[in-house]
Amino acid sequence: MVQDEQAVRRYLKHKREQDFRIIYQKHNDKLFRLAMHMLSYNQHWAKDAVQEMWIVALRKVDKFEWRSSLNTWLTSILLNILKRYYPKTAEKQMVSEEPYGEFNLDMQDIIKSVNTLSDGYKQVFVLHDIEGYKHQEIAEMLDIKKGTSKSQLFQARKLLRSKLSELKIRS
Amino acid sequence: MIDENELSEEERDLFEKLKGIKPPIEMEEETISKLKSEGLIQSHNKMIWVYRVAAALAFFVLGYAVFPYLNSSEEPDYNYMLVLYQDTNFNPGPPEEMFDEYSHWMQSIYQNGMAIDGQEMKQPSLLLDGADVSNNATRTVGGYFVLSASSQDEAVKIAQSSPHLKYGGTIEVKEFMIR
Repeated sequence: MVQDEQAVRRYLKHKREQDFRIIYQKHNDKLFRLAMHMLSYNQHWAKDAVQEMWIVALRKVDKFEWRSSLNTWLTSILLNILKRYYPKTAEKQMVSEEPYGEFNLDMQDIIKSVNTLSDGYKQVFVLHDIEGYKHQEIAEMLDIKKGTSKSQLFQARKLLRSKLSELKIRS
Repeated sequence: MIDENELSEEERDLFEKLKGIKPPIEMEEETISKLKSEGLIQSHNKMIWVYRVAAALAFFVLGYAVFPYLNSSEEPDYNYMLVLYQDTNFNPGPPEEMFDEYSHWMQSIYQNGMAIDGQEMKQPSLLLDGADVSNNATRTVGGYFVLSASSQDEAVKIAQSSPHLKYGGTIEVKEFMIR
């Protein structure tokens, strides 16, 4: 956290490219991955959403009070932005027509299953089980109670397990 | 019996695969370009091109004036390289001021009788590791100098006088391998 604070302070001083790169290179991969999980693995949408997040974040970072980690703060901004994309992803029940890379069968199964979850369950599942955030952090990001995060995760896992075994039986 | 509150090892392995997703290489430059157009990252001062042209002209004139007094049939025999690294500790000043500072330093080394040349490098670095290409190196090369020193001690002394160190950069001193 101290490193992030120092990096942000340096950026705010002169708004130099190299100071921003340090922040970007530390946080962008994880944020992009989250956007991909939430946007049916559509790379264009994910990239647009994350770039929009950086614009919003840099406009507001001078007012950030460091009550949470920088990553948590950036993630909550991103999650708000992602909401605008959800109607687009709802139109596509299957994986995006522009799949990210070459997926093997296992990956396809997981992705199909994750995409069947509602946005609320998907958010908590992705944040907890894939990205490793704790329930306390998820509660802050989504502005929900810790208990709600836990129960949504429980339901998400139940649905995922059912979907995954269904796909295994079919194959 | 599976504890529904915990992930099984098989499930952990499955979900771990989803962590392999990486952003496209060009995303960093695209993002920076968008932030510059929003005024959220400082664009390079247009004057930097004037300074660079002026510096280049100054070096040209200096070379033209000094050239007749050098053994013009020979290229300088550089035998040491100073590789300039930058990481999170690197705290540079304004680009045009730094360029002037490094140029003046190089000029002073030359005027003291040592052949020296150098090149600033653009960021970011692309790292190749097997089939993977990434641009998230924590330490990158910012530039290099080549010089003609009488010994490693002399090359190290020159490196120690470089402005790169005061900005928090590090320098690797390498002797050329002549086979």
